Amino acid sequence: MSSRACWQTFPPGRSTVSTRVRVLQVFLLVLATLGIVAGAMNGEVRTVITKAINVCLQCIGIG
Amino acid sequence: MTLRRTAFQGVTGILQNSWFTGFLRGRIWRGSSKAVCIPGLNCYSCPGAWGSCPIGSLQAVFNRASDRISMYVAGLIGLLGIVLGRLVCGWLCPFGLIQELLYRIRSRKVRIGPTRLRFLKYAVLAVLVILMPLLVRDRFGVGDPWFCKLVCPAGTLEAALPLLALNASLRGAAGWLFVWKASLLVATLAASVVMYRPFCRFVCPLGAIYGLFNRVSFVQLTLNEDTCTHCGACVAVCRMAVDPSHDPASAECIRCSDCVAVCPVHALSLGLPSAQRKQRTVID
Ligand code: SF4
Ligand code: SF4
Ligand code: SF4
Repeated sequence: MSSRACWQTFPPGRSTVSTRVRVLQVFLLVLATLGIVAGAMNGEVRTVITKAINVCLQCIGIG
Repeated sequence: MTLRRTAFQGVTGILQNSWFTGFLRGRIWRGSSKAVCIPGLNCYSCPGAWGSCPIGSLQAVFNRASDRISMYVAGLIGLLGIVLGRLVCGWLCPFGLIQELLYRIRSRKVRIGPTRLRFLKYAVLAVLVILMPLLVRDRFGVGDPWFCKLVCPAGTLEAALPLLALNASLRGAAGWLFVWKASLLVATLAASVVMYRPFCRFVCPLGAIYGLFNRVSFVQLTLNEDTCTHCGACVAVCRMAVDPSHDPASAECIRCSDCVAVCPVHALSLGLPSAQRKQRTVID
């Protein structure tokens, strides 16, 4: 009996794919975390909060 | 399962928008929690919203000449995508819930199978969320959030309607743009009565991004090929036009788990790959 996760639909061998995808998952997880930290250090949080605490005129159709 | 999911969507939707003072006074929350994006398409100008909309925030960063490259917002969206994929759409997005509730209204239903129209959301993402906010600028070098400005029905419903209802000055400023956006909202809501989540299937740029993560996210829909009899029950129940018995990792799957509940031989499951690996090790 075999159980297949959907990311294992990639050819070829299941175990190889599974390891590759696991590596990709961890890589993307680390990349996203680094992005959050780097962006925060770069002042991006200020841009987000400045936009979010003021009424967005474009969102409500008058800007 | 459907009711449990609806209850979960309802509770999380209310929690994300529970600054009730905003609804009473026609104001929005101005606290530091707005620095963080909430998972679904939830307008940051909704009077009750505690957090920021990922798509609005992404455009805000692209709009500023000094930023241009987004790492913080893209990282937050990526983090949610890599962990959950489109589970966010099925369980955490208030605008998805609103469309689902409208679909419950008794009426004739239109069922659209897999169609190329699904690629429209990627075009919306590329043009209105990324390219135009990056490239179209006024003489001061400032851009516009074009998706919010021209399309987003979530913003019209969650922000424009309550704020304009409670603010005479904002009401006075509403013009043709508001009429256009309100028309799109009405069309989206009307279509949602006869069709399951039309905005999610064909237009939403956030669903498009999360969909790209569906094949690699930690949370997965799993098919046990040996158990599956290809009876078609899962295909019949899926309203996102996915065939989980052939492609459970489809970018269209919102991980609602309706197919899991209906499978007569329990060949489908929703969960974390680590558990599946352990199961395979034991069984193999
Ligand atoms: S596709 Fe967009 S609107 Fe639909 S549930 Fe996902 S994030 Fe929300
Ligand atoms: S319902 Fe179950 S058995 Fe039937 S096709 Fe889908 S996964 Fe296979
Ligand atoms: S494939 Fe299953 S979990 Fe995915 S959207 Fe369809 S019914 Fe929901």
